[in-house]
Amino acid sequence: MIEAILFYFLAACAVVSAVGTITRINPLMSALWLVAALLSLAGLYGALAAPLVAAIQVIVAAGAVMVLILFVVMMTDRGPEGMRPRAIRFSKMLGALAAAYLAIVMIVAVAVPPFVASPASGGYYESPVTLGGFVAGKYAAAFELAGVMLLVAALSVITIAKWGERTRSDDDDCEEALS
Amino acid sequence: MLDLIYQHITLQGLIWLVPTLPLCGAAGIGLIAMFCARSEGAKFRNFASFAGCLMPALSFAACVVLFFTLTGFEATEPSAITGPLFRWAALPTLFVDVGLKVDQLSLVMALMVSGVGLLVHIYSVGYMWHDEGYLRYFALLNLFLFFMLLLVLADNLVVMFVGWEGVSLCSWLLISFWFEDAAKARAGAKAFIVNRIGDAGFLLGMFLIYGAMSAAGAPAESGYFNFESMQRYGIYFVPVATAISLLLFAGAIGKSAQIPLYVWLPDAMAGPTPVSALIHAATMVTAGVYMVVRLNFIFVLSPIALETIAVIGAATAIFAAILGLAETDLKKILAYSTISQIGYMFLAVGVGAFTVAIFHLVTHAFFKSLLFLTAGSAITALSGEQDIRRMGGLKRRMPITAWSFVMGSAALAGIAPASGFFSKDAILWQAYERGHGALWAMGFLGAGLTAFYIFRAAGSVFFGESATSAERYKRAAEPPFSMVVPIMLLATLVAFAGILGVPLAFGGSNMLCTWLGGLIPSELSRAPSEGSRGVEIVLMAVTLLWSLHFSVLGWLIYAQKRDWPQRVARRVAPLARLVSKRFYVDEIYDRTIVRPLIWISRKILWQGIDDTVVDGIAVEGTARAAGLFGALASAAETGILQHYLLYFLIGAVLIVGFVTL
Amino acid sequence: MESLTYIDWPVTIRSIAPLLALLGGAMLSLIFAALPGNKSWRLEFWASIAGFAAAIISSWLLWPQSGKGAFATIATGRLSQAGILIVTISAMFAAFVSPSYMEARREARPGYYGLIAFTAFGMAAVASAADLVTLLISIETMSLAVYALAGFMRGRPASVEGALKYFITGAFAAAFLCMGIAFIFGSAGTTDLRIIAERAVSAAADSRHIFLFGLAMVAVGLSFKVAAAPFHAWAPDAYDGAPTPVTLLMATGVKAAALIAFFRIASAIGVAGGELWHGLLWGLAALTIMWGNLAALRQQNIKRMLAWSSVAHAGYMLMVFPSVSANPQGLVRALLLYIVAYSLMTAGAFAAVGAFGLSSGEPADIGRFSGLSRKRPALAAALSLFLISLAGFPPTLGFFGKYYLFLAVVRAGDVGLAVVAVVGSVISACYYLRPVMAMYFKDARVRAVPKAPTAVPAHAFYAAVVAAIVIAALAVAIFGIMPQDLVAFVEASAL
Repeated sequence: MIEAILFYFLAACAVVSAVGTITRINPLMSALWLVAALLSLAGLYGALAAPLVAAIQVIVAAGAVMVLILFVVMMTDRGPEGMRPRAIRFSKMLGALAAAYLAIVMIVAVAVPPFVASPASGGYYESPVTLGGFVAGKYAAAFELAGVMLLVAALSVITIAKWGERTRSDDDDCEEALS
Repeated sequence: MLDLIYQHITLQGLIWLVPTLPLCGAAGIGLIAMFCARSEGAKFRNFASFAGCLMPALSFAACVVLFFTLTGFEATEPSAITGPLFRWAALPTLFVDVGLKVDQLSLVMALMVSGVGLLVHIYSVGYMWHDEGYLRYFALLNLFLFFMLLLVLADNLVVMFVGWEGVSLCSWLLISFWFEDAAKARAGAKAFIVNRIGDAGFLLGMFLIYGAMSAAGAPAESGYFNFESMQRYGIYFVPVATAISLLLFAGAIGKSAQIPLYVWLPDAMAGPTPVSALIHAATMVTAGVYMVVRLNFIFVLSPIALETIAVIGAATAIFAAILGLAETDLKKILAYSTISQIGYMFLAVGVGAFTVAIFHLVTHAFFKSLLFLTAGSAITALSGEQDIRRMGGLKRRMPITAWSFVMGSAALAGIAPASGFFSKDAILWQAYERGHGALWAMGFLGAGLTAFYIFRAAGSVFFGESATSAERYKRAAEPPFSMVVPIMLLATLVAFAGILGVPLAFGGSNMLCTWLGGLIPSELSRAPSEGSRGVEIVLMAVTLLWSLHFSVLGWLIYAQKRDWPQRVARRVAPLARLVSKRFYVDEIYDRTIVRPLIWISRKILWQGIDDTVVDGIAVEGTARAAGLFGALASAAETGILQHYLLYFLIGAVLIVGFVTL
Repeated sequence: MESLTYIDWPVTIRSIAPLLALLGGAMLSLIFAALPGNKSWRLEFWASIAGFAAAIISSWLLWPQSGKGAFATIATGRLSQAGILIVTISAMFAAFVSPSYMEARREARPGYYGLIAFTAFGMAAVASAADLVTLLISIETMSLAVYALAGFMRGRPASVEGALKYFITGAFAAAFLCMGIAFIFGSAGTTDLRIIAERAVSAAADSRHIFLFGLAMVAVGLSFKVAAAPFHAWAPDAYDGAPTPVTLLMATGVKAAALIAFFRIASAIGVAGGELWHGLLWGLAALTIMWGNLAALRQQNIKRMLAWSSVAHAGYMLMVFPSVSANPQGLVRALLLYIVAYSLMTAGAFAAVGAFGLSSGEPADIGRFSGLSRKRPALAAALSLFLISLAGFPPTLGFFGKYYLFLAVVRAGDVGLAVVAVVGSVISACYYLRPVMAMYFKDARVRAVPKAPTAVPAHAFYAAVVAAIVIAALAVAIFGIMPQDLVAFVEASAL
């Protein structure tokens, strides 16, 4: 009983924080709401008997990633005075309706039929030992791939942002040169 | 000699060479004509002349070799079949092979087609030399030869139909060869369309044959349209023989210009004269006769159909001859004469004398192409004058041409010993002997008319005083060597081709008919009556005198007393008008068939259905709808990211909703 | 840890050698890219080419011996090897076309070929992923590199804008894919596709809605990757904005990899989806075909036109999925053959457009192709060949691919879908032939054509562009007339 109450409380917290994240005008506020959402999720993991995942969520997502995000926001942000709330347009309302509809469908999909836990879905992730076994064993390839993915992400960011800036002379395009 | 040839080529290969050689010529010359601009094409004239004449020559040579091969065969029924070259159509219930067949009948036709074709090609070198479309002309003429040879050599009805349609196509292309002239282009279209009417009958006949064959349970693999298997299962045609015969004959009427579909042939004279000689006198127009003879085993099953054919033939023979009397255009006179002579052939077919029809077909091919070629020379000499009232006296300027024309005229009129005498009298004799007295009388009458109108033409053009301007007359001269040689060769043929069929009554052997007779079952079973030879000789003498009489009359009047006819005509003015207006047949067709059809197609089919329904709604509507949807799809591509995400979300919602609900 | 000791390392490394070769090439080019100097991209270029070559050779050698093998979550069967060959050759085309293009635009900066090499690695991993988690991560690896490539020309706002749109929509789609995978995992209890294939029917019976929900989400996420309507909206902007060699890569390799992955998932879970799966994919395919073809009708820019055409072609290829469980063998053959055909002709078309752009710059408006047949006849002939092949005229490979595909679809029972596809093909002829008409039957607009560039551009790497176009043209022409070898390869590759 107490587990259920905790679960729904945390779930409600997560939803409210998520709404806060996307409705705030000030990016700093959005980021803070995001922290709240991530922490609520971590709580949810804990309530679902997955302490390791909960801990990773707190350390990596809510900790490291959020710190980075806050850094970026604070370095580039010119403050809330540059921002204005946009008028709600038809397409936005339509989008919101579609999102709401999608949410209802999801709830119906999960809630209406009896949810039968699948045979192997329980008891995987309680301990770091089993998780480590999976990461180094069956999912070794995926794990290595994830490493490559991070490398690619770094490379992408660098090429987009700065690398080779010095070698470029100016913005003259060959198109302009020709026409 | 033959052994030497067959060391290098099989019999089948040789047969295939006969039609393919002209096709190669057509392709080669046609490609050059297509890819070289007109001015550059002139450089290739010599090549076109060489290749264009060489291919028919080789084809003719192959036919000759085949002839000697076939006559060397021991069997009573010498024939050779290439076997299927390939299976053209293989449906569960219909097999069509492409194959050729050489037997006496098709070989005679092939010899005639390639031989006359060769001479006309040679003649054309001189005749068309200064024409801009020289290459195109030779390509088409070669192509025509290919289709014509395919038609006569086909071993089944479908391949024959391919040739049948192919010659129509070439005829259309060549009649409207000078297509810049709208009238000539229209004449080509007229010929093509009138032919289509007959072809509809031909096709329906083929469908009926298919029905009869499948009902008879004939094995589909052998090909329902194969002549051999058709003949084998011929007995099953009895219930529908009349229908099949009449439908096929409708095709022949169109192609061979018989009543009521003869109207295209006089107009077809708009084409170059050698074309008229080859296509519209010697070969294509007689294809109808050939087809009926080829399928004689069906036609003999239906006495009604044969009777109809004979009557239509005889009627056409007289009717066209009457039209020829009043015509003043030299080429059109010859056209009507062709119609009339083909009428004689159908008369022969109708009374059951198939071989005689082929005999007349061959001699007619010789003398009519001779007449056309000489007429072409005369017309060229007078720089395009075709009206016989403004010609005359050309004998002194061009004697070879003149005497060749006279030789052809004599053959046409049936004056011994020219070849036409033997063939025409054979027809009349067969009609009489088989008990068709009325038909004989019609033929007899027609023979007189024929003699009159052709000597009228001969007298007007080559004899008497010149009715053309003096300087034009002075410039008239014999054509170049390349045109004279074919004329002389043809004249020789016309003079001596009668040997092929000297009747038994004259102590001859009637070679051609006997040789062909082996093919035709009804001819085999018929015993020639012994006691009738006296009658035959008497009738022949009478006909000869009758024709001779009219010939001399025609020649006298039109060479010496040209004002007589005018005076006579004035006295019977309405009749003369009627004849000179060709009995208003063209006008009647125009009012009763052509104009209503045009009205229906323009007002209802074109403006009513095509413009509004098909074009407006179906075609342009589709294009417009596609354009509209395209515009919508493009408009959705706003470039605004939020919109893209919205589409994404809507799509996802629809999919998820579709799957889960 | 003990599970690692059970792995037979020599065998394993051999079986994933193509992937390792690609990864090695990518790493090597990354190292060269970091060298100082303006010309470091040349070494980078050669390193990536070496990686591609090694991957192609090893994959070609492995192909005959691999049956249905797999290592952990990587499938190493013939389908994977064929997929690796296709995507690596696509990447090679892109790399060949790149140097002169980037040089002409003064955008030759380090990092470009490293990204292409990583894209190739990601595509190869996508094409051989046998597990949903592996698939997700490899898709992201591939996508991250392509996002950066699409926005590589920082001097062109269109490039950056297209890349941003691609990136955000892609993130959106990744979320859907991720969620779908979670739901399938929740329903089937595993992410291993082979086990899912066994359990799918019972999972769908036990927790029908969850399973179907996951299935729908995965379909949405993958539809984005293959640019199927209505998840295609990013494609024209991103294709147009990206450098033409990158557009080539996006249209061929990325799409091919996503389709192969889609096929793996479809053959595993499609049967459990039953009628719903059939209807869903039927609708997706039909909508994509019609939308892509109709929108392409109005395009004036050849790159946008080709982008829409690639949407339409994605629709053709999606046609194999509705009835995939009926005849997986025959359908995957048709799919593979069409992927090969489509990749070759699209790569050729974009390479030719890029080569044209070398002398006249962007944007490649169709009107600017007027009279090209007289100025650069070989280029005009090649581009016409590719466009005619895309339209599906015989005797090109495009025709044969379409014929084989439509035949397979009809055999699987989706006659209606084949009819839609034929109608779409008819529409497509209208827009494919417009540039051909312009090149051959219109005179050049005097103003639009600069004087100097009528000559072939003098550039050290122009030969590579010519080689790419010639190879693609030869393949399209020769396989169009004699497809036996290709068909044999494809049939042996099908599972």
